[in-house]
Amino acid sequence: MTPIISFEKVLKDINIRPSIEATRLASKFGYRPYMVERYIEILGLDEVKELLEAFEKPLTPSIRCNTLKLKDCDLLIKYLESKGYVLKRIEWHQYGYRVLKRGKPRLGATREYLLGYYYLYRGVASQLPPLVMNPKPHTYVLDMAAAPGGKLTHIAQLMNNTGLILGIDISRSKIRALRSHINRLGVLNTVLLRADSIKAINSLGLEDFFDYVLLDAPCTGEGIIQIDKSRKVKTTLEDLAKFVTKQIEMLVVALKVVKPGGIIIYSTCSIAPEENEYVVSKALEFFRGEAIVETPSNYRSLFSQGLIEFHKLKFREDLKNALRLYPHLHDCEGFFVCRIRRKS
Amino acid sequence: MQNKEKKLTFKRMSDDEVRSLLLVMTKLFEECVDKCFNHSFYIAYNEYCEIHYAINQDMEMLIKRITTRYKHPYSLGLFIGWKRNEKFIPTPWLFSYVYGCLGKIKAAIQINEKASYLYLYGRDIFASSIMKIYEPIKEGNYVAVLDYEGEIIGVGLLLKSPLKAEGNEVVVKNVFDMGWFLRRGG
Ligand SMILES: C[S@@+](CC[C@H](N)C(=O)[O-])C[C@H]1O[C@@H](n2cnc3c(N)ncnc32)[C@H](O)[C@@H]1O
Repeated sequence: MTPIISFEKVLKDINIRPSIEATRLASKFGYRPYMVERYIEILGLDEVKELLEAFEKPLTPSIRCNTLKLKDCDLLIKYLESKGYVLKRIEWHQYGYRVLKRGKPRLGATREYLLGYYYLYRGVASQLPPLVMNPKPHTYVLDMAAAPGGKLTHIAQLMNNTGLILGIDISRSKIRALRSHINRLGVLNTVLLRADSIKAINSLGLEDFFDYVLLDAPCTGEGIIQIDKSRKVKTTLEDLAKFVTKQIEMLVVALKVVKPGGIIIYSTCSIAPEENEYVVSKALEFFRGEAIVETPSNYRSLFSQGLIEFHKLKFREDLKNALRLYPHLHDCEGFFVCRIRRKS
Repeated sequence: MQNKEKKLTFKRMSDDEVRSLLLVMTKLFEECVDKCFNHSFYIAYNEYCEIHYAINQDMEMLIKRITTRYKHPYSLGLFIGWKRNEKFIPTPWLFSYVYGCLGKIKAAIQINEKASYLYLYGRDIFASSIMKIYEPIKEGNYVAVLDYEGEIIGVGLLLKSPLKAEGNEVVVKNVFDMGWFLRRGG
Protein backbone atom coordinates (compact mmCIF):
# COMPACT_ATOMS: atom_id res chain seq x y z
CA MET A 1 0.00 0.00 0.00
CA THR A 2 1.34 3.47 -0.81
CA PRO A 3 1.79 5.55 2.30
CA ILE A 4 -0.73 8.33 2.90
CA ILE A 5 2.06 10.80 3.41
CA SER A 6 5.77 10.21 3.30
CA PHE A 7 8.08 10.71 6.24
CA GLU A 8 10.23 13.02 4.08
CA LYS A 9 7.29 15.27 3.23
CA VAL A 10 6.30 15.50 6.91
CA LEU A 11 9.85 16.28 7.93
CA LYS A 12 10.04 19.03 5.33
CA ASP A 13 6.70 20.52 6.42
CA ILE A 14 7.50 20.61 10.12
CA ASN A 15 11.03 21.92 9.84
CA ILE A 16 11.53 24.99 11.98
CA ARG A 17 14.61 27.12 12.66
CA PRO A 18 14.98 28.44 16.19
CA SER A 19 15.52 32.15 16.77
CA ILE A 20 18.23 33.49 19.10
CA GLU A 21 15.61 34.22 21.74
CA ALA A 22 14.29 30.65 21.53
CA THR A 23 17.80 29.24 21.76
CA ARG A 24 18.51 31.37 24.82
CA LEU A 25 15.32 30.30 26.61
CA ALA A 26 15.85 26.69 25.57
CA SER A 27 19.27 26.66 27.15
CA LYS A 28 17.96 28.31 30.33
CA PHE A 29 15.15 25.75 30.79
CA GLY A 30 16.96 22.80 29.22
CA TYR A 31 14.86 22.26 26.08
CA ARG A 32 15.57 21.53 22.44
CA PRO A 33 15.51 24.98 20.79
CA TYR A 34 12.98 24.01 18.09
CA MET A 35 10.41 23.26 20.79
CA VAL A 36 10.73 26.66 22.39
CA GLU A 37 10.67 28.38 18.99
CA ARG A 38 7.30 26.90 18.29
CA TYR A 39 5.95 27.77 21.74
CA ILE A 40 6.98 31.38 21.02
CA GLU A 41 5.20 31.27 17.66
CA ILE A 42 2.02 30.02 19.34
CA LEU A 43 1.97 32.06 22.53
CA GLY A 44 4.34 35.01 22.14
CA LEU A 45 7.47 35.57 24.17
CA ASP A 46 5.94 36.74 27.46
CA GLU A 47 3.49 33.89 27.73
CA VAL A 48 6.11 31.31 26.79
CA LYS A 49 7.99 32.10 29.98
CA GLU A 50 4.82 31.37 31.96
CA LEU A 51 4.44 28.09 30.09
CA LEU A 52 8.03 27.06 30.73
CA GLU A 53 7.72 27.99 34.42
CA ALA A 54 4.49 25.96 34.67
CA PHE A 55 6.26 22.91 33.22
CA GLU A 56 8.72 23.14 36.13
CA LYS A 57 5.95 22.75 38.72
CA PRO A 58 4.52 19.41 39.82
CA LEU A 59 1.39 18.16 38.07
CA THR A 60 -1.80 17.92 40.13
CA PRO A 61 -3.07 14.32 39.93
CA SER A 62 -6.77 13.59 39.65
CA ILE A 63 -9.25 10.81 40.21
CA ARG A 64 -12.49 9.81 38.51
CA CYS A 65 -15.22 8.40 40.70
CA ASN A 66 -16.37 5.19 39.02
CA THR A 67 -20.14 5.13 39.13
CA LEU A 68 -20.17 1.59 37.73
CA LYS A 69 -19.04 0.54 41.20
CA LEU A 70 -20.22 3.32 43.48
CA LYS A 71 -23.36 5.34 42.91
CA ASP A 72 -22.62 7.95 45.57
CA CYS A 73 -19.39 9.81 44.81
CA ASP A 74 -19.71 11.86 48.01
CA LEU A 75 -19.10 8.65 49.89
CA LEU A 76 -15.79 8.18 48.07
CA ILE A 77 -14.74 11.70 48.95
CA LYS A 78 -15.65 11.04 52.58
CA TYR A 79 -13.61 7.83 52.64
CA LEU A 80 -10.56 9.52 51.11
CA GLU A 81 -10.82 12.59 53.32
CA SER A 82 -10.75 10.31 56.33
CA LYS A 83 -7.35 9.13 55.05
CA GLY A 84 -6.02 12.67 54.92
CA TYR A 85 -6.69 13.49 51.24
CA VAL A 86 -7.98 16.86 50.12
CA LEU A 87 -9.95 16.74 46.90
CA LYS A 88 -11.62 19.41 44.82
CA ARG A 89 -14.12 18.75 42.06
CA ILE A 90 -12.78 19.62 38.60
CA GLU A 91 -14.76 22.66 37.49
CA TRP A 92 -15.81 21.07 34.15
CA HIS A 93 -16.45 17.55 35.44
CA GLN A 94 -19.25 16.19 37.63
CA TYR A 95 -17.37 13.22 39.03
CA GLY A 96 -13.70 14.09 38.53
CA TYR A 97 -11.55 15.54 41.32
CA ARG A 98 -8.17 17.19 41.64
CA VAL A 99 -6.03 15.76 44.42
CA LEU A 100 -4.83 18.84 46.29
CA LYS A 101 -3.27 17.09 49.26
CA ARG A 102 -2.13 13.50 49.59
CA GLY A 103 -2.95 11.21 52.48
CA LYS A 104 -2.08 7.64 53.38
CA PRO A 105 -1.93 5.01 52.03
CA ARG A 106 -1.06 6.21 48.52
CA LEU A 107 -3.95 6.50 46.07
CA GLY A 108 -3.02 3.32 44.20
CA ALA A 109 -3.22 1.25 47.39
CA THR A 110 -6.37 2.22 49.26
CA ARG A 111 -9.27 -0.16 49.88
CA GLU A 112 -11.39 2.13 47.71
CA TYR A 113 -8.91 1.83 44.84
CA LEU A 114 -8.86 -1.96 45.05
CA LEU A 115 -12.66 -2.01 45.08
CA GLY A 116 -12.68 0.00 41.84
CA TYR A 117 -14.31 3.12 43.26
CA TYR A 118 -11.97 5.35 41.26
CA TYR A 119 -9.37 5.60 38.51
CA LEU A 120 -6.21 7.55 39.19
CA TYR A 121 -4.72 9.95 36.60
CA ARG A 122 -1.43 11.81 36.56
CA GLY A 123 -3.18 15.03 35.54
CA VAL A 124 -6.73 16.21 34.88
CA ALA A 125 -6.70 16.66 31.11
CA SER A 126 -6.96 12.92 30.39
CA GLN A 127 -10.47 13.01 31.80
CA LEU A 128 -11.61 15.35 29.03
CA PRO A 129 -11.66 13.24 25.80
CA PRO A 130 -14.40 10.80 26.94
CA LEU A 131 -16.52 13.76 28.10
CA VAL A 132 -16.07 15.41 24.71
CA MET A 133 -16.99 12.10 23.04
CA ASN A 134 -20.07 11.75 25.26
CA PRO A 135 -21.02 8.32 23.87
CA LYS A 136 -24.61 7.16 24.08
CA PRO A 137 -25.45 3.83 25.73
CA HIS A 138 -25.87 0.80 23.45
CA THR A 139 -23.47 2.13 20.82
CA TYR A 140 -20.24 0.73 19.33
CA VAL A 141 -16.95 2.34 20.26
CA LEU A 142 -13.40 1.71 19.08
CA ASP A 143 -10.39 2.77 21.14
CA MET A 144 -7.36 2.49 18.87
CA ALA A 145 -4.66 3.05 21.50
CA ALA A 146 -6.40 1.93 24.64
CA ALA A 147 -3.86 1.07 27.31
CA PRO A 148 -3.57 1.52 30.23
CA GLY A 149 -7.22 2.49 29.96
CA GLY A 150 -8.11 5.72 31.75
CA LYS A 151 -10.19 6.76 28.80
CA LEU A 152 -11.60 3.38 27.82
CA THR A 153 -12.91 2.70 31.33
CA HIS A 154 -14.37 6.22 31.46
CA ILE A 155 -16.15 5.59 28.15
CA ALA A 156 -17.57 2.34 29.57
CA GLN A 157 -18.85 4.32 32.54
CA LEU A 158 -20.54 6.87 30.26
CA MET A 159 -22.17 3.99 28.34
CA ASN A 160 -23.25 2.39 31.61
CA ASN A 161 -21.60 -0.87 30.54
CA THR A 162 -23.91 -1.32 27.54
CA GLY A 163 -23.05 -1.70 23.85
CA LEU A 164 -19.53 -2.57 22.89
CA ILE A 165 -16.03 -1.18 23.16
CA LEU A 166 -13.22 -2.67 21.13
CA GLY A 167 -9.95 -1.69 22.80
CA ILE A 168 -6.68 -2.26 20.94
CA ASP A 169 -3.15 -1.68 22.09
CA ILE A 170 0.16 -2.93 20.84
CA SER A 171 2.01 -3.05 24.17
CA ARG A 172 2.06 -6.36 26.02
CA SER A 173 2.68 -4.87 29.45
CA LYS A 174 0.26 -2.00 29.05
CA ILE A 175 -2.62 -4.13 27.84
CA ARG A 176 -2.13 -6.34 30.86
CA ALA A 177 -2.59 -3.26 33.04
CA LEU A 178 -5.67 -2.36 31.00
CA ARG A 179 -7.24 -5.76 31.61
CA SER A 180 -6.52 -5.41 35.27
CA HIS A 181 -8.25 -1.99 35.38
CA ILE A 182 -11.23 -3.35 33.48
CA ASN A 183 -11.73 -6.07 36.07
CA ARG A 184 -11.09 -3.76 39.01
CA LEU A 185 -13.52 -1.12 37.75
CA GLY A 186 -16.27 -3.57 36.80
CA VAL A 187 -16.23 -2.87 33.05
CA LEU A 188 -18.18 -5.56 31.20
CA ASN A 189 -18.71 -4.36 27.64
CA THR A 190 -15.18 -4.57 26.30
CA VAL A 191 -13.26 -6.76 23.90
CA LEU A 192 -9.50 -6.30 24.07
CA LEU A 193 -7.02 -7.04 21.33
CA ARG A 194 -3.27 -6.85 21.61
CA ALA A 195 -2.26 -5.74 18.15
CA ASP A 196 -1.14 -2.96 15.89
CA SER A 197 -4.48 -1.25 15.48
CA ILE A 198 -3.90 -0.31 11.84
CA LYS A 199 -3.18 -3.90 10.85
CA ALA A 200 -5.91 -5.35 13.07
CA ILE A 201 -8.62 -3.02 11.85
CA ASN A 202 -7.68 -3.47 8.21
CA SER A 203 -7.78 -7.22 8.46
CA LEU A 204 -11.04 -7.27 10.42
CA GLY A 205 -12.82 -5.29 7.70
CA LEU A 206 -14.72 -2.96 10.00
CA GLU A 207 -15.53 -0.09 7.62
CA ASP A 208 -18.45 2.09 8.77
CA PHE A 209 -18.88 -0.03 11.89
CA PHE A 210 -18.38 2.22 14.91
CA ASP A 211 -20.51 5.06 16.25
CA TYR A 212 -17.47 6.54 17.99
CA VAL A 213 -13.72 6.16 17.68
CA LEU A 214 -11.15 7.37 20.15
CA LEU A 215 -7.64 7.89 18.87
CA ASP A 216 -5.64 8.95 21.90
CA ALA A 217 -2.57 8.74 19.77
CA PRO A 218 0.90 7.54 20.66
CA CYS A 219 2.78 10.84 20.81
CA THR A 220 5.91 12.59 22.03
CA GLY A 221 4.28 13.21 25.42
CA GLU A 222 5.55 16.75 25.25
CA GLY A 223 2.64 17.86 27.43
CA ILE A 224 3.75 15.91 30.48
CA ILE A 225 7.14 17.53 30.99
CA GLN A 226 6.06 18.20 34.59
CA ILE A 227 6.42 14.50 35.36
CA ASP A 228 9.06 13.53 32.82
CA LYS A 229 11.77 16.12 32.30
CA SER A 230 13.50 13.94 29.72
CA ARG A 231 10.80 15.03 27.27
CA LYS A 232 12.44 18.44 27.04
CA VAL A 233 15.20 16.92 24.93
CA LYS A 234 14.08 13.45 23.95
CA THR A 235 12.40 14.16 20.63
CA THR A 236 14.40 15.16 17.56
CA LEU A 237 12.57 16.60 14.57
CA GLU A 238 13.06 13.22 12.88
CA ASP A 239 11.43 11.43 15.81
CA LEU A 240 8.60 13.92 15.71
CA ALA A 241 8.10 13.34 11.98
CA LYS A 242 7.89 9.59 12.65
CA PHE A 243 5.16 10.08 15.25
CA VAL A 244 3.30 12.44 12.93
CA THR A 245 3.40 10.04 9.99
CA LYS A 246 2.01 7.26 12.19
CA GLN A 247 -0.65 9.53 13.71
CA ILE A 248 -1.93 10.54 10.28
CA GLU A 249 -2.05 6.92 9.21
CA MET A 250 -4.00 5.96 12.34
CA LEU A 251 -6.45 8.85 12.00
CA VAL A 252 -7.22 7.91 8.40
CA VAL A 253 -8.05 4.39 9.59
CA ALA A 254 -10.30 5.91 12.26
CA LEU A 255 -12.13 7.89 9.58
CA LYS A 256 -12.73 4.71 7.59
CA VAL A 257 -14.20 2.67 10.42
CA VAL A 258 -16.48 5.28 11.93
CA LYS A 259 -20.04 5.25 10.55
CA PRO A 260 -21.15 8.19 8.41
CA GLY A 261 -22.40 10.71 10.96
CA GLY A 262 -20.19 9.16 13.65
CA ILE A 263 -17.69 10.88 15.90
CA ILE A 264 -13.92 10.58 16.20
CA ILE A 265 -12.04 12.03 19.11
CA TYR A 266 -8.40 12.72 18.36
CA SER A 267 -6.31 13.57 21.40
CA THR A 268 -2.68 13.72 22.49
CA CYS A 269 -0.83 14.73 25.63
CA SER A 270 1.14 17.20 23.56
CA ILE A 271 0.79 20.83 22.60
CA ALA A 272 2.90 20.41 19.47
CA PRO A 273 0.90 21.65 16.44
CA GLU A 274 2.75 19.11 14.30
CA GLU A 275 1.13 16.14 16.04
CA ASN A 276 -2.22 17.83 16.47
CA GLU A 277 -3.60 20.37 13.99
CA TYR A 278 -1.20 19.24 11.26
CA VAL A 279 -2.23 15.59 11.71
CA VAL A 280 -5.94 16.37 11.67
CA SER A 281 -5.55 18.65 8.65
CA LYS A 282 -3.63 16.07 6.65
CA ALA A 283 -5.93 13.18 7.56
CA LEU A 284 -9.06 15.15 6.69
CA GLU A 285 -7.46 16.34 3.46
CA PHE A 286 -6.88 12.72 2.55
CA PHE A 287 -10.53 12.07 3.37
CA ARG A 288 -11.55 14.81 0.89
CA GLY A 289 -13.80 17.01 2.98
CA GLU A 290 -15.98 14.17 4.16
CA ALA A 291 -15.51 15.15 7.79
CA ILE A 292 -15.55 18.30 9.89
CA VAL A 293 -14.08 19.45 13.20
CA GLU A 294 -16.97 20.21 15.55
CA THR A 295 -17.18 22.57 18.48
CA PRO A 296 -17.52 20.68 21.76
CA SER A 297 -19.91 23.36 22.99
CA ASN A 298 -19.86 22.49 26.72
CA TYR A 299 -16.11 22.93 26.84
CA ARG A 300 -15.41 25.62 24.24
CA SER A 301 -15.24 28.59 26.57
CA LEU A 302 -13.08 26.75 29.12
CA PHE A 303 -10.03 26.03 26.97
CA SER A 304 -7.92 27.62 24.25
CA GLN A 305 -8.72 27.33 20.55
CA GLY A 306 -6.98 25.09 18.06
CA LEU A 307 -4.57 26.76 15.65
CA ILE A 308 -5.43 27.52 12.05
CA GLU A 309 -1.92 28.52 11.14
CA PHE A 310 1.49 27.83 12.51
CA HIS A 311 4.90 28.82 11.19
CA LYS A 312 4.62 28.36 7.41
CA LEU A 313 1.68 25.99 7.66
CA LYS A 314 -2.01 26.78 7.14
CA PHE A 315 -4.65 24.49 8.61
CA ARG A 316 -8.39 24.10 8.10
CA GLU A 317 -10.57 26.91 9.48
CA ASP A 318 -12.64 24.52 11.56
CA LEU A 319 -9.56 23.47 13.52
CA LYS A 320 -10.13 26.47 15.73
CA ASN A 321 -12.92 24.33 17.21
CA ALA A 322 -10.31 22.00 18.70
CA LEU A 323 -9.40 22.36 22.38
CA ARG A 324 -5.87 23.19 23.55
CA LEU A 325 -5.00 22.79 27.22
CA TYR A 326 -1.97 24.56 28.61
CA PRO A 327 -0.34 23.98 32.02
CA HIS A 328 -0.02 27.72 32.76
CA LEU A 329 -3.67 28.44 31.90
CA HIS A 330 -5.60 25.33 32.88
CA ASP A 331 -3.64 23.71 35.73
CA CYS A 332 -3.07 20.45 33.86
CA GLU A 333 -0.76 18.63 31.50
CA GLY A 334 -0.39 20.07 27.99
CA PHE A 335 -3.14 18.44 25.94
CA PHE A 336 -5.10 18.56 22.70
CA VAL A 337 -8.64 17.29 22.03
CA CYS A 338 -10.48 17.46 18.76
CA ARG A 339 -13.99 16.25 17.93
CA ILE A 340 -14.36 15.20 14.31
CA ARG A 341 -17.66 14.22 12.71
CA ARG A 342 -17.73 12.15 9.58
CA LYS A 343 -20.39 13.60 7.31
CA SER A 344 -23.60 11.61 6.90
CA MET B 1 -4.82 -15.45 38.18
CA GLN B 2 -4.53 -14.96 34.42
CA ASN B 3 -0.76 -15.12 34.47
CA LYS B 4 -0.18 -18.14 32.28
CA GLU B 5 -1.73 -16.36 29.35
CA LYS B 6 0.63 -17.45 26.61
CA LYS B 7 -0.98 -18.92 23.54
CA LEU B 8 -4.55 -18.81 24.75
CA THR B 9 -7.03 -20.26 22.32
CA PHE B 10 -10.57 -18.93 22.35
CA LYS B 11 -13.67 -20.91 21.56
CA ARG B 12 -17.38 -20.43 21.95
CA MET B 13 -18.89 -22.83 24.47
CA SER B 14 -21.07 -25.54 23.03
CA ASP B 15 -24.68 -25.84 24.22
CA ASP B 16 -23.66 -28.78 26.42
CA GLU B 17 -20.83 -26.84 27.99
CA VAL B 18 -23.15 -23.89 28.67
CA ARG B 19 -25.71 -26.20 30.25
CA SER B 20 -23.15 -27.73 32.57
CA LEU B 21 -21.74 -24.31 33.50
CA LEU B 22 -25.19 -23.00 34.37
CA LEU B 23 -25.76 -26.13 36.43
CA VAL B 24 -22.60 -25.47 38.42
CA MET B 25 -23.81 -21.93 39.09
CA THR B 26 -27.27 -23.14 40.04
CA LYS B 27 -25.70 -25.52 42.57
CA LEU B 28 -23.51 -22.75 43.96
CA PHE B 29 -26.40 -20.36 44.53
CA GLU B 30 -29.04 -23.07 45.05
CA GLU B 31 -31.16 -21.07 42.66
CA CYS B 32 -31.50 -21.16 38.91
CA VAL B 33 -29.52 -18.27 37.42
CA ASP B 34 -30.28 -18.96 33.73
CA LYS B 35 -32.46 -15.86 33.57
CA CYS B 36 -29.43 -13.68 34.42
CA PHE B 37 -27.56 -14.69 31.30
CA ASN B 38 -28.75 -13.46 27.96
CA HIS B 39 -25.12 -13.99 27.06
CA SER B 40 -22.88 -16.22 25.00
CA PHE B 41 -20.03 -17.92 26.78
CA TYR B 42 -16.46 -18.23 25.61
CA ILE B 43 -13.53 -20.24 26.89
CA ALA B 44 -9.91 -19.14 26.60
CA TYR B 45 -7.55 -22.00 27.23
CA ASN B 46 -4.03 -23.29 27.04
CA GLU B 47 -2.22 -26.20 28.62
CA TYR B 48 -2.24 -24.54 32.04
CA CYS B 49 -5.59 -22.90 32.43
CA GLU B 50 -9.08 -22.37 31.22
CA ILE B 51 -10.78 -18.98 31.60
CA HIS B 52 -14.50 -18.42 31.13
CA TYR B 53 -16.16 -15.27 29.83
CA ALA B 54 -19.75 -14.18 29.28
CA ILE B 55 -20.37 -11.66 26.54
CA ASN B 56 -23.38 -9.58 25.57
CA GLN B 57 -25.11 -9.88 22.22
CA ASP B 58 -23.51 -6.70 20.84
CA MET B 59 -20.10 -8.28 21.28
CA GLU B 60 -20.93 -11.62 19.72
CA MET B 61 -20.67 -10.57 16.09
CA LEU B 62 -17.39 -8.75 16.59
CA ILE B 63 -15.84 -11.64 18.47
CA LYS B 64 -16.83 -14.05 15.72
CA ARG B 65 -15.11 -11.80 13.24
CA ILE B 66 -12.01 -11.48 15.39
CA THR B 67 -11.66 -15.18 16.00
CA THR B 68 -12.33 -16.19 12.41
CA ARG B 69 -10.56 -13.48 10.45
CA TYR B 70 -7.72 -12.32 12.52
CA LYS B 71 -6.47 -13.55 15.83
CA HIS B 72 -7.45 -14.17 19.39
CA PRO B 73 -8.78 -11.46 21.62
CA TYR B 74 -6.99 -10.65 24.83
CA SER B 75 -10.04 -10.58 27.04
CA LEU B 76 -13.78 -10.40 26.62
CA GLY B 77 -16.80 -9.05 28.44
CA LEU B 78 -17.51 -10.45 31.90
CA PHE B 79 -14.76 -12.64 33.34
CA ILE B 80 -16.85 -15.22 35.18
CA GLY B 81 -14.39 -17.83 36.30
CA TRP B 82 -11.60 -20.22 35.61
CA LYS B 83 -11.11 -23.93 35.86
CA ARG B 84 -8.54 -25.74 37.92
CA ASN B 85 -8.44 -29.53 38.19
CA GLU B 86 -11.76 -29.70 36.41
CA LYS B 87 -13.34 -27.48 39.06
CA PHE B 88 -14.99 -24.17 38.18
CA ILE B 89 -13.80 -21.26 40.33
CA PRO B 90 -16.14 -18.26 40.22
CA THR B 91 -14.70 -14.73 40.13
CA PRO B 92 -15.83 -11.85 42.36
CA TRP B 93 -17.28 -10.33 39.17
CA LEU B 94 -19.56 -13.31 38.69
CA PHE B 95 -20.81 -13.04 42.27
CA SER B 96 -21.33 -9.32 41.86
CA TYR B 97 -23.20 -9.78 38.57
CA VAL B 98 -25.45 -12.51 39.95
CA TYR B 99 -26.24 -10.48 43.09
CA GLY B 100 -27.27 -7.59 40.86
CA CYS B 101 -29.49 -9.90 38.85
CA LEU B 102 -31.08 -11.76 41.80
CA GLY B 103 -31.31 -8.63 43.93
CA LYS B 104 -29.80 -10.43 46.93
CA ILE B 105 -26.56 -11.77 48.32
CA LYS B 106 -26.04 -15.54 48.42
CA ALA B 107 -23.17 -17.95 49.05
CA ALA B 108 -21.10 -15.38 50.90
CA ILE B 109 -19.51 -14.60 54.23
CA GLN B 110 -18.93 -11.17 55.69
CA ILE B 111 -15.87 -10.54 57.83
CA ASN B 112 -14.77 -7.88 60.29
CA GLU B 113 -12.59 -4.88 59.51
CA LYS B 114 -9.26 -6.31 60.63
CA ALA B 115 -9.81 -9.57 58.77
CA SER B 116 -10.92 -7.60 55.69
CA TYR B 117 -7.58 -5.81 55.46
CA LEU B 118 -5.68 -9.04 56.09
CA TYR B 119 -7.70 -10.78 53.39
CA LEU B 120 -6.61 -8.08 50.93
CA TYR B 121 -3.03 -9.11 51.74
CA GLY B 122 -3.79 -12.67 50.72
CA ARG B 123 -4.52 -14.11 54.17
CA ASP B 124 -7.10 -16.78 55.07
CA ILE B 125 -10.07 -16.27 57.38
CA PHE B 126 -10.53 -17.48 60.96
CA ALA B 127 -13.95 -18.49 62.22
CA SER B 128 -13.87 -15.68 64.79
CA SER B 129 -13.58 -13.02 62.04
CA ILE B 130 -16.90 -13.90 60.47
CA MET B 131 -19.69 -11.39 61.08
CA LYS B 132 -22.41 -12.80 58.90
CA ILE B 133 -23.20 -15.79 56.70
CA TYR B 134 -25.30 -15.61 53.55
CA GLU B 135 -26.63 -19.08 52.77
CA PRO B 136 -26.14 -21.35 50.99
CA ILE B 137 -22.59 -22.08 52.02
CA LYS B 138 -21.22 -25.58 51.80
CA GLU B 139 -17.88 -27.07 52.77
CA GLY B 140 -15.73 -27.53 49.67
CA ASN B 141 -17.63 -24.82 47.78
CA TYR B 142 -16.53 -21.32 46.88
CA VAL B 143 -17.94 -18.30 48.67
CA ALA B 144 -17.80 -14.58 48.02
CA VAL B 145 -15.92 -12.75 50.76
CA LEU B 146 -17.53 -9.48 51.79
CA ASP B 147 -15.70 -6.87 53.81
CA TYR B 148 -17.02 -5.05 56.88
CA GLU B 149 -18.95 -2.64 54.63
CA GLY B 150 -20.47 -5.45 52.56
CA GLU B 151 -18.27 -5.01 49.48
CA ILE B 152 -16.96 -8.09 47.67
CA ILE B 153 -13.22 -8.25 48.27
CA GLY B 154 -12.52 -11.71 46.96
CA VAL B 155 -13.43 -15.35 46.63
CA GLY B 156 -12.59 -18.08 49.12
CA LEU B 157 -12.89 -21.81 49.52
CA LEU B 158 -14.98 -22.87 52.49
CA LEU B 159 -12.94 -25.45 54.41
CA LYS B 160 -15.26 -25.90 57.35
CA SER B 161 -18.61 -24.49 58.38
CA PRO B 162 -17.93 -21.54 60.72
CA LEU B 163 -20.71 -22.84 62.94
CA LYS B 164 -18.76 -26.03 63.61
CA ALA B 165 -15.30 -24.50 63.96
CA GLU B 166 -13.33 -23.09 66.87
CA GLY B 167 -12.66 -19.32 66.77
CA ASN B 168 -9.00 -19.68 65.87
CA GLU B 169 -9.57 -22.23 63.12
CA VAL B 170 -9.10 -21.24 59.48
CA VAL B 171 -12.47 -21.75 57.81
CA VAL B 172 -12.02 -19.95 54.50
CA LYS B 173 -8.95 -20.28 52.33
CA ASN B 174 -8.05 -17.27 50.22
CA VAL B 175 -8.46 -18.15 46.53
CA PHE B 176 -8.48 -14.65 45.09
CA ASP B 177 -8.58 -11.20 46.66
CA MET B 178 -8.71 -7.67 45.26
CA GLY B 179 -5.26 -6.98 46.71
CA TRP B 180 -4.07 -8.82 43.61
CA PHE B 181 -4.46 -5.52 41.74
CA LEU B 182 -1.79 -4.08 43.98
CA ARG B 183 0.53 -7.07 44.09
CA ARG B 184 0.31 -8.27 40.49
CA GLY B 185 -2.02 -6.21 38.35
CA GLY B 186 -2.26 -2.50 37.63
C1 LIG C 1 -1.22 7.90 24.81
S1 LIG C 1 -1.14 6.21 25.08
C2 LIG C 1 -2.82 5.77 25.27
C3 LIG C 1 -3.41 6.04 26.63
C4 LIG C 1 -4.78 5.47 26.80
N1 LIG C 1 -5.69 5.95 25.77
C5 LIG C 1 -5.35 5.79 28.16
O1 LIG C 1 -6.24 6.63 28.27
O2 LIG C 1 -4.94 5.17 29.14
C6 LIG C 1 -0.77 5.56 23.51
C7 LIG C 1 -0.83 4.06 23.41
O3 LIG C 1 -0.70 3.70 22.04
C8 LIG C 1 -0.15 2.42 21.99
N2 LIG C 1 0.27 2.20 20.59
C9 LIG C 1 1.36 2.69 19.94
N3 LIG C 1 1.36 2.29 18.66
C10 LIG C 1 0.25 1.53 18.47
C11 LIG C 1 -0.32 0.83 17.37
N4 LIG C 1 0.26 0.84 16.17
N5 LIG C 1 -1.46 0.13 17.57
C12 LIG C 1 -2.05 0.12 18.78
N6 LIG C 1 -1.56 0.77 19.85
C13 LIG C 1 -0.44 1.48 19.70
C14 LIG C 1 0.93 2.45 23.05
O4 LIG C 1 1.26 1.15 23.49
C15 LIG C 1 0.27 3.31 24.14
O5 LIG C 1 -0.30 2.49 25.12
